Amino acid sequence: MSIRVEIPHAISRYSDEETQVSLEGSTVGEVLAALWERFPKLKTRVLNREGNLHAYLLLFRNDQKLPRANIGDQPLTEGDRLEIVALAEGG
Amino acid sequence: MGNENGHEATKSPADFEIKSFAVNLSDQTIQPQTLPCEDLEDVFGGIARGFKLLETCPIDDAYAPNATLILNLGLLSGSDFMTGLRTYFHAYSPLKTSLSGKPSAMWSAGSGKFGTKLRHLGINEVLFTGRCDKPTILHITREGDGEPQFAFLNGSDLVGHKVNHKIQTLHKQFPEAHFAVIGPAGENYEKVRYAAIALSTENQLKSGDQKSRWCGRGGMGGVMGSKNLIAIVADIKDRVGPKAPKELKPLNVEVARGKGSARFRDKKKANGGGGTWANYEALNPVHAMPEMNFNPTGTIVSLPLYRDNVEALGPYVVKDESCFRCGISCHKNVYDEVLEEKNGKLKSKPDKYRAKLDFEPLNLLSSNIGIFDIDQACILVELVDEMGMDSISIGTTLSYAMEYNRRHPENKIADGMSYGDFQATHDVIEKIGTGQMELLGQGVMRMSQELNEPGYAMHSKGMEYPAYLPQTNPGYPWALAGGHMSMRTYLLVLYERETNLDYWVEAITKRGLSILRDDFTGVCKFAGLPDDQMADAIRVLSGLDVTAESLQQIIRRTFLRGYRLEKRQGFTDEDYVMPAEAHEEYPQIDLPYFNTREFFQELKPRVMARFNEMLEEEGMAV
Repeated sequence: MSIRVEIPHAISRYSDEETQVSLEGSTVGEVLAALWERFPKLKTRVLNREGNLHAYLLLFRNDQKLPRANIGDQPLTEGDRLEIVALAEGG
Repeated sequence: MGNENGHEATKSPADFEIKSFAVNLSDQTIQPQTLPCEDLEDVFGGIARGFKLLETCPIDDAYAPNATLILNLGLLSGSDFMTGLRTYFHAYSPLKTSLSGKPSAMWSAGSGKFGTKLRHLGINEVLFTGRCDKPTILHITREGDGEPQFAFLNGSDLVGHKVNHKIQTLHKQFPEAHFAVIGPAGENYEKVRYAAIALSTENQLKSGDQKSRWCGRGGMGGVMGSKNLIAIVADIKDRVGPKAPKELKPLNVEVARGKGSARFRDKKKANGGGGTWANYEALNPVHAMPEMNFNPTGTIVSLPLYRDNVEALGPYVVKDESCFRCGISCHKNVYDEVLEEKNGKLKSKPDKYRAKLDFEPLNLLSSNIGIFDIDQACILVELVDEMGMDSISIGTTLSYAMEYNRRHPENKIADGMSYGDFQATHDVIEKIGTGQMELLGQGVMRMSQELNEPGYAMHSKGMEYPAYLPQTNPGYPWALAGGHMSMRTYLLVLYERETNLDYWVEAITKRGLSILRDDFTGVCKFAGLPDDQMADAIRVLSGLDVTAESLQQIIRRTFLRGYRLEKRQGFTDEDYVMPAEAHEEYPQIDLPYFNTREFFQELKPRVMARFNEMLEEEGMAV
């Protein structure tokens, strides 16, 4: 199924400045794997050495924040929007 | 400004005018002018226009009566664009100074509803010169579509009072108005160089709580105080303009619900990151968050200050509140918790308002001065606001003094205040704000020069660093330091981890400047719209023919104008430096160590050369 993935400007340098891509997958883990395949350098900017989401990033599905624990197992449905949000910011 | 709604966006700068008012406070005369816009900078206002004006009135003393204090709006200030609430003050700063001793051009921006009222008054800019012979309230009104009327009222009764008292007192007298006021620090400007200007909000007037918004940086409150101007009252009933164009709605929805503002929105509703306070949970795990004068402890000592822990441990309620007509709800306001029984169940409710906790004031007035208790943090944040001071400058100044005392136990300053000493810190803040502790009121640059220990004085060009580690941001010296950092390089190493010279030259001279955009559009940085959508909003609301590319061009020209202003005020290569200890290695920071002395020595000439090239390219060479 097709999932729209949104990438924040803060790390879009590693996605060839793309901030929106459509990828296939039925879980968050599958979609992220497809994301790393397309943009290999992005992986270490999103996941830490332990394979968990960096503390300064959040992951939203359809505007709802996903829990950090077992994030890869979260199921997705056709048309879902997966959004990486850069948490650290000032102003 | 002649910005009647036009959807075709065919207007050029020549189609716009500036309603400008020169106010001479010495003889209390007003000179109204309607000026044609010469370029996009004039049309946009904010610092794009403010810097142009400051170029025409250089001075050697920020507090001289002939110094100019500029108040203006951005193009979308007071418009139907969500977050279009910004008011700007510009002047030569008493704080930001070249090594040759001349003050530098500065600005500070704040939200609140004051700017909207100025828009309703038909005012784009006011240029203040001179000095009132007694404490004065400037009262501005307008009848119908007539010209604004200015009256000079005696403000002596407000002198000595804290910010919220002043605003609430004025509110009783002028119930339709909004206000720009200074606190005790601004009145004691000769002893406090980082006084701020408070702008009133709807929430503040309705609740009676201290919920001002702030033009904090650079000592603009001191410049206002030096003119004996205690308050500006924008007194006019809200006006209902023409119906907003339908094209604006999706853009406002994007601001309120889109990804640009997601990190600032309401955490409880699970659709937001929780505001800048969330930087605690983002930065502390890699120990990239200031503690103990920008020297992270590498421990979990700041954990009690995380929002989740504050709410879990209580007894506090955190409410996500918002500015006038803004859907982002970025304000994270802390209240004492009260439990009320309802249907046999206890329900948590907010009681007394305590403080608005943004990352910068919270961090610099708690973790960075060794305070890890949220109750104490709320008291200090609130006190600094009530005294009318910039929380960044005073926080960094306090941490320097504490570090000095740690290193010199036999020769302490500031009443012997030490890290974590809440009561002493509280008393010192009051003394600074009332002009009784000039050593600290002068800011960290001057204090460290006087104590002959500049190595850990965390500033560039006299502007204290905000709550992002200088060890990770070699761009600080070139920041114009107007908004909190004004150089979008402060979190790059967190997100991108790049450490090579080419990358940093490009980051500082290109990407770093982008943070300036909303210092002239009139909208809040938290709106988070990309340039193309921002250009859409401007076209829809003003009819101005503008594109993402032209926005970038104005950003570039505005930065270069600010850089040129620094040169004209005597800044040389020697001014663009960082404190020595910012270049040292801190193994506890879990980010690449790269900003060594050697790295910076190689970086600096390349950055300076590139900026000089850019000045040439724009025909703006000094």
